[in-house]
Amino acid sequence: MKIVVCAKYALDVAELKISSGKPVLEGARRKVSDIDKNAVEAAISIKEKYGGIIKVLCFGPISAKEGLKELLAMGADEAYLIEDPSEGMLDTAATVEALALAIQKMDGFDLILCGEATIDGYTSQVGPRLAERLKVPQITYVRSIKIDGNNVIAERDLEDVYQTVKVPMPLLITVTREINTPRIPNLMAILKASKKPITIWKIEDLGLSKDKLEQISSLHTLSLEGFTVERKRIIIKDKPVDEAVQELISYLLKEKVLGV
Amino acid sequence: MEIELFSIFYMIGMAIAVVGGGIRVWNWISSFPISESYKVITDIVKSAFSTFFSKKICYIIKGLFLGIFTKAKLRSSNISNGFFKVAFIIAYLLLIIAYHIKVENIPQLKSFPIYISFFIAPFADFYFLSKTSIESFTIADAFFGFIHDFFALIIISYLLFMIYKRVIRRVHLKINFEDIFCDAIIILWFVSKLMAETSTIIAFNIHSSIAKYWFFSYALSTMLKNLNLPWLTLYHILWNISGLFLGVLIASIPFTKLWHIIVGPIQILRRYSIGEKPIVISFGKKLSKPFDLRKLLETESFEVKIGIKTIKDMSWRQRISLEPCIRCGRCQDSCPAYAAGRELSPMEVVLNLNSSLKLIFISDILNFMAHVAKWLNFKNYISSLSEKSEKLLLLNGKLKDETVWSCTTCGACVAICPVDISNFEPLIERRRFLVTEGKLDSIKMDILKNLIEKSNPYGMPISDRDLWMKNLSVKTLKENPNPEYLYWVGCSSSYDKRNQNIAKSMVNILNKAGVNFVVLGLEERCCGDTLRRMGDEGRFQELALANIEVLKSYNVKKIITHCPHCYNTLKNEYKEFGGDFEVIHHSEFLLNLLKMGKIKLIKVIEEETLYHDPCYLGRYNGIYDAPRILLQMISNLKVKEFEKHHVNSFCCGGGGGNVWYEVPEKEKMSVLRIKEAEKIGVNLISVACPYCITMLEDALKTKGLEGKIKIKDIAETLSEVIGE
Amino acid sequence: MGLEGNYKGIMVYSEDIDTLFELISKSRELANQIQTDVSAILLGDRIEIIPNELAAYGVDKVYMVENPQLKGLIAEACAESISIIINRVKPEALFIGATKRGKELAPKIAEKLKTGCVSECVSLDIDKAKRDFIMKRIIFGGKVVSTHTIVKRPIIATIPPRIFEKKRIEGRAAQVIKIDLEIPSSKFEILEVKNKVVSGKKIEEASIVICGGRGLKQKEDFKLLDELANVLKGQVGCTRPIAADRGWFTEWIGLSGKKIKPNLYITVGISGAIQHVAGVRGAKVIVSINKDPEAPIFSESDYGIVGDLYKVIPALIEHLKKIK
Repeated sequence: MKIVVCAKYALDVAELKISSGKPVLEGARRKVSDIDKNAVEAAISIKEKYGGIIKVLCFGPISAKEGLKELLAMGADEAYLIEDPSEGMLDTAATVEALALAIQKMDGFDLILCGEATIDGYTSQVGPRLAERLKVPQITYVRSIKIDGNNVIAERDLEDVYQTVKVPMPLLITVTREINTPRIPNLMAILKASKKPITIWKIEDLGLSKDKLEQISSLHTLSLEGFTVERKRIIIKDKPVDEAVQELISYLLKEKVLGV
Repeated sequence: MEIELFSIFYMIGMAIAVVGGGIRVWNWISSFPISESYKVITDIVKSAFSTFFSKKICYIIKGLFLGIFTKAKLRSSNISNGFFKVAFIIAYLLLIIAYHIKVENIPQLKSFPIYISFFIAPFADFYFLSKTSIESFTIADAFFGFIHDFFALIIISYLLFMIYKRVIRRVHLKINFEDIFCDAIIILWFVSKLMAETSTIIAFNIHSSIAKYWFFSYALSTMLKNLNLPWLTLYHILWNISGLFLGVLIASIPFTKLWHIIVGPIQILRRYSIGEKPIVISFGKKLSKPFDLRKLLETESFEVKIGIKTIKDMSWRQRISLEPCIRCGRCQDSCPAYAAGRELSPMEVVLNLNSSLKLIFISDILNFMAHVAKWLNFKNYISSLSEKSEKLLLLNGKLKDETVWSCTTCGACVAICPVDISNFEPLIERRRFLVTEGKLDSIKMDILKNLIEKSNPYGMPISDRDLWMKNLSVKTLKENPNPEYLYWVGCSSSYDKRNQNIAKSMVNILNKAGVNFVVLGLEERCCGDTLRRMGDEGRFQELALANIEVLKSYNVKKIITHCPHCYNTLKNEYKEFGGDFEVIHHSEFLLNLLKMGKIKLIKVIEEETLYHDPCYLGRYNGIYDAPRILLQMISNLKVKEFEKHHVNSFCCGGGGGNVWYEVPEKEKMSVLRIKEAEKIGVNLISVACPYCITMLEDALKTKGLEGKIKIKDIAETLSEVIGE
Repeated sequence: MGLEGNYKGIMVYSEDIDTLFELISKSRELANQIQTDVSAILLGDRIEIIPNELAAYGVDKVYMVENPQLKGLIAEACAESISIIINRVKPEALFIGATKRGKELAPKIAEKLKTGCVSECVSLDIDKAKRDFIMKRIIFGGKVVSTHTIVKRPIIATIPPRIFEKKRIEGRAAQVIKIDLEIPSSKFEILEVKNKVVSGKKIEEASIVICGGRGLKQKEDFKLLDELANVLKGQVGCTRPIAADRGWFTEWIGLSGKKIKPNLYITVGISGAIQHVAGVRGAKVIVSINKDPEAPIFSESDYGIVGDLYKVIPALIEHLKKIK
């Protein structure tokens, strides 16, 4: 079985600092997006059961090699990095174009795995777009995968229901965090994996150019406004219970977290 | 002259012992290449010889006698026990020497070559008493007779005392056949020997002026000689019976816990040759280094074996170190995890591994048979034999995961063990195996992940590490590149709101005292204590090397820290990775400031305080006095002691990564400790470790004692009495 | 942008009817600013919604596709249908409800139409002069609001439920256009659909979690929290001491237990040791109820009530019931 996992070397949002109303993106820490690790873990457990080869593919900065090493250490067999010429300014359409051409450059696939979203942008777009671009069916929000002959039987987590579906390969799957707990490769595995080669492609190697990608990318970002997410620490005290409770509820309604 | 039956029994016994001993030695060296096995044996022999014929013999004496004695004194309220044991060992050793001197001085035995007379030595009296005469009797003979009976009585009474303790008082454990057998066989050997001597005295009607020196046998003979028994036949039979008992005793050494006679001294010798005092533990402050990351990176060879999957993965030193166990049960009694009702007894760990160790030989035989089967082409047997051979060695059943994770690495077991077994070393080795295999539950996985990704166990952002020092006057190394001291804050006091107060207090004191100090701020990372003790050796080294690089880049020389875990790691473990710093625990540093008058007290504490010894400060590094003196200097009242204090201190339950995960137990260690404090009745417990604060404060809440008892770091108390 | 002149009108789709109403209301507001139409799409194998109900929120045209291939609203078939409609109608904007189904559908359509898509917008505006849509969304774990436009047409955006209000406008009617489509049969086969049971849901997946600590005196008191959870459709958890020390439950929330990231996290009688707080750091809003005003948990909370939980919780239940 040939499995391709798409992984993003995303901003480590927990470490992101806000300085005078703007996120400090220069030199910001990055890491492999958590849910993409779930996808790699899912690929490994499929490989362990049914055999095959796992290729991880990333569109991102050259520093993403560090992240790919970690995925190789987890158990991926090959890693491919397409160098992003735009420092993350391209939209999902352009990303998907690069990913799709890279996958077409490989010798076919049975399964493409992605995380349901990435921790930084959280657009949830790359999976479905890529499936559409490659003209294969998609199963999104998957929390368990079984292989049955040439079919994948997967359980999807939708808002109100769990849906079990059967789809023939080749296809694309996006997984949720709940599907597994990604293994932590030990240092030895990482060191050993550092010997596995990482193939680095420039976009030109895929027949693309910066201009062409910018043309495909139609989403423009006008501004990024940062705010420090400190806890608000609004403490209601010395008030009658009913009054305090009403005050609290009015705050929560404003926050839109009561589900009403 | 013919060789008597008793000597033949002794010879047979010795032959069995040699074979048995050979098997045990095989178990030490099996799986090592021949060259290394050879090295192992020559190392042991060489060290034994060089010790015997050098000044190191003093270590043996110190180790065997003073060591046992001081240990007993330090760790047990009952010193007589240790004294008795020392007397027993001295008596036995001197008696053996006496036999061999004696046998050389019996004229009729001169015809035997030395290797035969060796087997006659214990029975020298058989030849001597029957032939001696008043004319030839010397003062030396008299002296021998006296010490023979005297020492025999010491030995018998010690063993009777042990049996009494086991059977009647049931001090330690369940009655165990092996224990009773070992005590009984020595008693039987000496009793039968005394009986044989008694009957010899009667049979040959030895003159009382000679016989009286064998005072016990002589006394017995005066009582028994009127019995009308065929003494001339009987005395011979009794000597043969005693020979039989000796043969059985000798033969059983490699097969029973009597083996500690051989390996115990080796172990104690090792401790004294590394020069550790009994008030600190001999294992744990510097864990073994299965590989050196720098070398691996240089050579790019990453195939290293880490941890113990099978018993054969233990090094020969580790294997030998388990063997002296005599099931005394002191480790179990001192183990906080055992007291908390966790699935861990340090003694069972050692015993289980010892039983595994014995299987190495059997496994090797099965393996050999598999080879034979292969050679004979008995296809059906090959795989089942080699499978069985491998299965025997697995440690799955012997070291349960729950047991492995129950240990807080407090070291109480190591500290109290009379033969210096490193009880928890295999647990750390097993953790290393489990980590390497990725066989961890998600909680522990997350802790490791937090430490790897965020350099702190909480998983808090790296960029939040310096939030505690907001609005404080603290400089980082970047801002003040030429400080005298670096103050190492540690994860707990960087992130935990409660423990940030320790760091704030430290800053207040250091500033008041005018100390030129800095912190690392965002460049500080976890010291790696948790990673190493949870078995992630690779990541520990990675972190340690990174920390050392930062410290060296700023040319840091002296480090102060208030966390005993950071202290131990920075001080004892970083050396092996090129980080040689002067590391000072805040208890000693602050005491010094006080003594030098650098800080002025504006008040004294009026509360009685109880001091709790943190494991990694006391038992690991021998710092017991500094915090006590410091408290004494700032208090009007005496510092009280827990029932278990100093080297016997009872762990709070936070070490070895335990502060971050839960283990099934009946009652938390911290709660047991708080109960102890409640009994003593104080309002303030002083500690010198942030983990102890976390654990003990939690226990206070559990016991509903918040507000009644306070728990403070010594720095917090000091900061209060010098004013803001 | 040469082509863009040909694209006119706002189109909305959501399989969730309330979200659809909300999208229509918002689109109506925007459409009024640039004097254009709002159209809605209804898909299904059998459509039960009366198209005129949509008119009450301001829709002008309703495109209806009834096709057996649309059973189960498989993304492929929906994307196919919607993009065919778009190619015919050429709206300048397509808004899709950001339910899970909507979120997998929108990028598919965007890819088919080779246009841009903004996920989960929390604000929609129009630059009238440029006739550009200005969309805001929250990224980087809630730390940053980003503002976007899309230079191609149609623009596509998904909008989460309950972001905009639905507003009824009386006396409007809508034109209903039924469309017959050839939808290729799908390889996607639905074998089973299970309803999620709220109580059986994993606590890690719950969007509202109420957690009890040592302030609760006995196990029975957790019924109070259960009742609150019922009203809020949330889940109840406890701290480590409650589970590990008192043994009332087998699981707990915190660093050594379940780590959770709910939208709303309510702590009841919890003092706030770091081992607990570190396990819930990802919670969007933290509310704490504790009688000790000095409890460290308050410095980790967005809102707090200092008071007796045995009085506060029943009052909270009562008031919440009123607004539900």
